[in-house]
Amino acid sequence: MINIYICEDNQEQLEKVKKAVLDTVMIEDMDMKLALATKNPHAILDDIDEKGGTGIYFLDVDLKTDINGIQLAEKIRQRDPSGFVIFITTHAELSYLTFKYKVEALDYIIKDDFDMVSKRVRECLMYAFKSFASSGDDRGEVFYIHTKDKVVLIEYSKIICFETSPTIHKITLYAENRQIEFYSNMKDIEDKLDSRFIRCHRSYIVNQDYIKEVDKKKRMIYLKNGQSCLISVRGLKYIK
Amino acid sequence: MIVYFYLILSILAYILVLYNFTEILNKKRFIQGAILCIIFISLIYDIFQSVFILGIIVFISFLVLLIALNHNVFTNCISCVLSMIYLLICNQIFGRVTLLLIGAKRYAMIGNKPYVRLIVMIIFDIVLFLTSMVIRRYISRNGTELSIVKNRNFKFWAILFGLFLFVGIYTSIHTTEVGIFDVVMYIIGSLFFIILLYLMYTSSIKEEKVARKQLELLQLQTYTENLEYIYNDMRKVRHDYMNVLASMVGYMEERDMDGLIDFFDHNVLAFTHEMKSLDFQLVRLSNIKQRELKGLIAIKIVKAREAGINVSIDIAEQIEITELNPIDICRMIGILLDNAIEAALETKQKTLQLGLLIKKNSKLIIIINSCKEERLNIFQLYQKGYSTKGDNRGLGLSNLKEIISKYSNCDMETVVENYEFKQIMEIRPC
Repeated sequence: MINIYICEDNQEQLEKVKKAVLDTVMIEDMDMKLALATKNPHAILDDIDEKGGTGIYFLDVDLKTDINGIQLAEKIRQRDPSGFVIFITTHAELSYLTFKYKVEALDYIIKDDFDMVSKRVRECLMYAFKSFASSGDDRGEVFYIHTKDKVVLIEYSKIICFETSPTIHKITLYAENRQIEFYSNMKDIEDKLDSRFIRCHRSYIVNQDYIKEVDKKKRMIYLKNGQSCLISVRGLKYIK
Repeated sequence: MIVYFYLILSILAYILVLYNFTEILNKKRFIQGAILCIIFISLIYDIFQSVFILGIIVFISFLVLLIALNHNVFTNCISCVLSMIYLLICNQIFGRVTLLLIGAKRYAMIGNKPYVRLIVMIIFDIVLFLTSMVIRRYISRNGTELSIVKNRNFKFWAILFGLFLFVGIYTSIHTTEVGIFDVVMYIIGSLFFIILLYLMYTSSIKEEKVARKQLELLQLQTYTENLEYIYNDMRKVRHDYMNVLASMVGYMEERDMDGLIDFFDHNVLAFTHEMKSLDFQLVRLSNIKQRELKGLIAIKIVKAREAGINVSIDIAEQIEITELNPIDICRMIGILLDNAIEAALETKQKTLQLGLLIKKNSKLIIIINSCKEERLNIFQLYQKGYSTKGDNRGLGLSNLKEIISKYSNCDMETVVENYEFKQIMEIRPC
């Protein structure tokens, strides 16, 4: 059972969202229930502490109390890291990047578009519902590492290689359409990878699926994206 | 008698070089003064009959003449010293070349044949004049607007250095032994030279600082101008809004429901649309505490707007990035924004999003631009010299990489998805 929470200081807006939520849950016959709809953010936090579990949260950005919607979302995240947060905001307050990157919100609804609000609530609920239903399937094929407050999540099949950088403990992950720098060490990474990855050198871990050419004499691997990696003497053993 | 010819030609040599190396405002008076000097020097020469003293007298008398003419001590010192050095060096070179050409072995061989000597001296004077004129043209064309030249310290040390050089060359011409004196002169001369270089270095740093401050000022100016524009926009809208409210009150007092609904449909909804398009974006920059960063971003955003890009700025809290060197921060954000703007312009949607966020343990700088490719080879993008925009480009991202590698608390994530190019920089406390 997934709990739905609404926090909105304007009574009409609150009722509107509440109605949209209840209607959708009933029509789509979802395994969710409206736990609390209030203008008091602390009541929501208390309720989460009491009930636990994961939930879907519709939060107004400007709550006109001591904490605003974003701060509330941060506190909710501490309690429910995998819940879905959806902000209800005016056009002027829209901070898409803050929503997404600071609080990892799912989406936002613009209340200025009066007639669209109900529809948007429904869309978000549907998306959340689908995500909850299908989660847990694809974890196996994904590389996951959590270091220094940064979480890296990427499918194995998309990773091209890992390379150490001159800066201590900094590692660059090269992938299809993505490049991430993070802090870790090669050993920890190696342990998380599967057999298609080889540690060909102290500074390189390579996904064999992306190897274009191997030059054993020069001890270099040429990858499909134009990169080249060194091979150590020990690394030669791992290369077919 | 002919000695006087030699004398005059020698002095003339110096005059010719000096003429080209100094700013002479009143040519007539200079010539009059020069003639006076020549007469004066000839008389002195009569008394002392020494070439050694001759040089010194020539130097002093012309220095005095120039100061008398334009009152500027420093500059004239420099000119006189430079001229003398130039003269001495050219004299040496010319002398040896002439010997070679004539096939003579000693100066005396020329010295003894008066007409040869006269001709040689005349040619020497002409060559001196022409070459110093060329040098002068070259310098004035390439600009002597260096502020360093106006610096008092610099001039002082430059003169000392010049004098030392002068004395050094002068005495080395007239003596044949190398001794302690020469070594000491050499060391002191080098010291002076190093001091000069140091002065030039600090001066150029100061110049750079001034230029940067000016740029900052310009950026802030642009920012305030835009703020004023936004403010005026808002005033207009508020005015219209008050009018609309007042009208609505009118309908309500009359209890005219139909009229009110009609008024609402026709006026208020359209008006709301106008309100929505109000520009709140730029005001968010007020959350950036650092002036130079604020100005830099402001100016880039404004330019992006003018080029037709839809910019949205997301800076929700007061933010100050103290973990990195401010110059590096500005350079990095500058590079990222320039790239984003150029890329967005090539797309149809032309969107650019900039976010400065504070997370629990780090700060994020996010720049997202619309992008015409769905997939990109990111490794290649960061290579020096690689560019999707033609030749002689492609240094931006590789420079960015270099700057970032200086820091161990800063890292970069680059993603291409859904036709958007995202650059996310995460900065942690040191």
